[in-house]
Amino acid sequence: MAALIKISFTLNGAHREIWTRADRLLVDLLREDLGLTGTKKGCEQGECGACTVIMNGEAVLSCLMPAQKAEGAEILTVEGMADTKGLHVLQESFLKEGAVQCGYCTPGMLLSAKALLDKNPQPDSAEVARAISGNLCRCTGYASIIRAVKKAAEKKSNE
Amino acid sequence: MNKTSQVIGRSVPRVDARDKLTGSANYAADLSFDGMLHLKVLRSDRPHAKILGIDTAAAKGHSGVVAVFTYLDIPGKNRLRNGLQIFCGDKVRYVGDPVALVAAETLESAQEALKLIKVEYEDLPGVFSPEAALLPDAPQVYDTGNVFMEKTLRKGNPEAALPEAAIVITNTYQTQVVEHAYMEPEAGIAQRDDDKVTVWMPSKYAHSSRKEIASVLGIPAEQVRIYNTAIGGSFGDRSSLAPGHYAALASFKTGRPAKLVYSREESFFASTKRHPFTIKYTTAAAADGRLCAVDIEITADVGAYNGSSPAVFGKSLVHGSGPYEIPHILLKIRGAYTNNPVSASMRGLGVPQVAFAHESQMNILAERLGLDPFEIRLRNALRPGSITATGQCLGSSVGLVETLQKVRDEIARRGTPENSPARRYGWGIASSFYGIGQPGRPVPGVARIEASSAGGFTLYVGCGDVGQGSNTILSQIAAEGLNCRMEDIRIISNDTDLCPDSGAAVASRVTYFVGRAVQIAAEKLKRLLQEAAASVIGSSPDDLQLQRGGFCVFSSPQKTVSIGQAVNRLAEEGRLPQAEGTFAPETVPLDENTSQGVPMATYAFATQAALVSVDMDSGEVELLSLVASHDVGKAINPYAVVGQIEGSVAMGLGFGLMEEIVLQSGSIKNPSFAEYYVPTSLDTPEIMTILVEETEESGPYGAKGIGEPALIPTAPAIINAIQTAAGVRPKTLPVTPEALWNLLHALP
Amino acid sequence: MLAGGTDLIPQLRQGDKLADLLIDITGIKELQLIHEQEDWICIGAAVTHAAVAAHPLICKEVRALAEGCAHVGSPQIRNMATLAGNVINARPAADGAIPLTALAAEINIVSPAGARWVPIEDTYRGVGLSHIDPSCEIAKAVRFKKPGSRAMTGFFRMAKRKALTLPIINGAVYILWDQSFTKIEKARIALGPVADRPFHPKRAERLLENGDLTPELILEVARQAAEEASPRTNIVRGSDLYRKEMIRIYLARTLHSLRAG
Repeated sequence: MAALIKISFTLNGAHREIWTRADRLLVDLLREDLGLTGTKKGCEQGECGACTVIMNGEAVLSCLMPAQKAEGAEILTVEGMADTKGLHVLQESFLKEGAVQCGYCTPGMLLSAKALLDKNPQPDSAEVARAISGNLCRCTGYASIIRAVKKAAEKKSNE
Repeated sequence: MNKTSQVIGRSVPRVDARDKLTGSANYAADLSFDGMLHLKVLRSDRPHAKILGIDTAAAKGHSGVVAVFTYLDIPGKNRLRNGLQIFCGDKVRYVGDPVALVAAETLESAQEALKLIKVEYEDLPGVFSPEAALLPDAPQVYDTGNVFMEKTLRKGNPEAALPEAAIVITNTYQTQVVEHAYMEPEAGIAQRDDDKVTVWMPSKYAHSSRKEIASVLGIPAEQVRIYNTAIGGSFGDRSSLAPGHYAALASFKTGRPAKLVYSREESFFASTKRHPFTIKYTTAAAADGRLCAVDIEITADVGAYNGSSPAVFGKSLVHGSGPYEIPHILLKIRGAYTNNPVSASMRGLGVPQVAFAHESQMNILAERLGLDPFEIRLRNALRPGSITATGQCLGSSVGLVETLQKVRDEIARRGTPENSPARRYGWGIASSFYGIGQPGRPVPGVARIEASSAGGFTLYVGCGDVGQGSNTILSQIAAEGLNCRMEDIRIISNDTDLCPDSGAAVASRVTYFVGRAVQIAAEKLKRLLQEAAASVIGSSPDDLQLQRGGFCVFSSPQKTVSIGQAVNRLAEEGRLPQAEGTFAPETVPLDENTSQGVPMATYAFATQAALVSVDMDSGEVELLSLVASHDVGKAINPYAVVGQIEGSVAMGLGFGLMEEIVLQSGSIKNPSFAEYYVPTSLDTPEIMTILVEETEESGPYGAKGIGEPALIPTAPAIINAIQTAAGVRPKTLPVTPEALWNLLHALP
Repeated sequence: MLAGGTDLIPQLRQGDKLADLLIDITGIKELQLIHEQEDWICIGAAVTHAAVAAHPLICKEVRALAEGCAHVGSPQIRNMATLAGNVINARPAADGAIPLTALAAEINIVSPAGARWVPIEDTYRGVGLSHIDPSCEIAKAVRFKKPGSRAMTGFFRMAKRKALTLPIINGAVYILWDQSFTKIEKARIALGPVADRPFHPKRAERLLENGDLTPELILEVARQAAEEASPRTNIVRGSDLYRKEMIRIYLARTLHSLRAG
């Protein structure tokens, strides 16, 4: 049986300390231990991107990430994107552009997109497509998602 | 409809998108209950074997295990109406066939216990293609034989017409096994309270799932309640045997909540697939390109069980000859059982497969006759008043010609890139049609709307949104009819206790069938409230008009009655402030022998054009652009329609070029996203959609449907484009680089 | 030893590997650096594929490595997986390890017995099997001689899909010209997956050496390389015959693009 360990990290802007099994994966720490089920499991093999979160500014796959790697890290999940003022500009844009269908890939897409915009505020379509190339979608064909990300970038630059 | 639309034709945001965007939408795997048991299914690792014994003692005794179930533990029926079964009893018929279920305190214990179940098998020879299954001495998947079904469509006198034709071309086409590959792996969670079992599961037809689960548990359907959780894609699946059935069984037997989630690998093995078809297609035409007869033989791999093959075969019969007016047609489809994974409903229900064949034939015919691909289609296209393959006379909502013209104009405008020595470019087109709803005796759409004294409305439909946006579309239709804002409509589509049975989210029927029912319910409710409002204000109902929030008198608009007041008046009169709508169009089931009839009331039409580049040395094909023109009757929500088209272009690209379940003696060799290639964002082309709206009078605000029509022309257009660019014609899908390379380098 | 975990975690889940303890080395500062040391370029064992692909030094000096790393898996995988890990995981078509092989790279291994530099090629034991033992050895860095102004590198890859997909074939080329840029002094070609490890078609390399990149020689080199390669038929990725032919096509194209550049 795995030992219990304590992990301290910043999650969605707030400091968290949590005891969990030493062999926990980050996706299960989030979903099971913290009850944050916004991060999804699509394959648990790093092949679909549904479990994408942002760790220290980089989009990563939480299904392949031992939870202990989160020690001291800054982690953003979909639950941390909206704030008291409302939805994140990317969420608003997805809503407006019809970029959400079944919604299962959506959290992962949002985080891959956010990681992109934080580094490259004015990406072209090819750069957006590349940024989400690790996120599979079976519903939208990606076109509306790419439009939504570009519109969000435009909106952000006008703010 | 004379007034300007409030919400019809507007791309209002989806009503369920916000929850999905913030991570608060609940998919079945997101739910947990205290004291919940974790379930794992033991599946067969061999394609065909007798079960001599199942020893669960060690598993039952394993730490943390609460129960282990087999077919002996089914209180009701082990076999569902379609033919799928909860557990194997006497034998296993495919790799993945469910044999036992472990219920444990933790997932880990369940997984460990699974390995401790000892099944004694006696291997039987397997059969892995329908052709092999139909041979006289083939291993029998069932004692009753391997033939599942044979159906024929006959129109006119094809035997006489064929020999008379100026030109006859025959080719054989082959399609592959395809995975639905929705992003949400299957999951279900159940809880028993006294004699009622509640199941949270994604289902495209919750009322059917309820009946199925009730029959398994041996209890009346009223004692089962299904909550449709957010559905992470369906594409024809989420229809029958699912984790929900197993969770219900475990919860029923143990009294504890129970949860089952499939791993992605398990999903590959457990889920049903698109039927692979072998299609021998003979097309006969006159010298001017007018089709005079077709003779089509389809052989389909049903797999180990019947999932929903009759529906797939029915659609294949109706659409097999393509969107063309042909006087003489013979179409035979036969399905055989094999020890391969189960084939069942997948987006298009056999029509993507037959469209690959008929659109290839049309282009081959065009080449032989020196006709342009558009021209030959225009000469034969179904038009208002045309007679279809089943002898149906089409109404006015037939926009095929317009889609052809629009696509032709667009690609003429664009032109084709210059070839270079190694890279060739070409456009290819394909047309299609697709009947809305299930052939023959369709399940009606049903809707109920209730008004509240606060002035809002609740819309009840028993039809879960599978991601295509039905909750939004139906709310728009209700809002339009009741002249209110979208925010005033609350839609409840996910509770079998509260919602009427509206039929399945299948065959692209929801907008047309359920939407029309919503429209009817809205009209009825409006009249009911109008009468009540009239009695409040002391005037005649005809003097009133419905504004936002209430009624006002035509002649003196300052005299108003709110919705709430009307509701209260109804209450005083002892009447419920609600109305129900039902809609099923008139159809005539297909004749047993000739498949003649009026199977569906309306059809969607489409033409797509694909621009590809072909690397002549490697066989690699890139889909660069896709122009899609679809006649949808009326786009209730244009972004939703475009979203369906763009999504299905990706799926069609996969179907044409890169997706394939690789089977070896019935075992899936690529059960993962690493080796089953769902297109990524870097693979999808630039897409232009051109919507055509040929009003369907019987549809809500003229609408027909888009979910499956969107997919059908894509792969055929790509294959025709490959022929234009590279000068060779693939007849087997998928056209992988190596497959095309083989064609390009084939010895003469 | 745990670096990115993108290979190890699935292996642990499947039961292909077992571990009671994982030691995460990615937090060690000195392993996170890319730097030049005399005429070597050193890449620390904790450096991710994304960092390699984006690094100005690598983009400028070693195009093939930047491209190889840019094609690993997906953006998320590239943010997590390390270049050193790509070597230790010992797959024959690893997109980071293939250019490293063409660069005659070495890997620094620290064990209880001490530290040593080992040519990457010598670390392979078989498909997925490395001589490096992650239960008692730590990789510190990979290094290779800076190609320099007289060198050219190229990378190629072919797959059934444009992301998240293991290649049908991949390869990298390293060419060192003489002072006059008319004769090739040294040539290295690394190909995958055409053997149980990244593969050098030695006769093809020798053909290039002392030659010029003429169209005729390119044709011959590519043909020779394809002949030496022995890929296996893979039920999902393709037949041996096809893969050999694609080696020929893509190697020739890569050599042509170097010629043009």
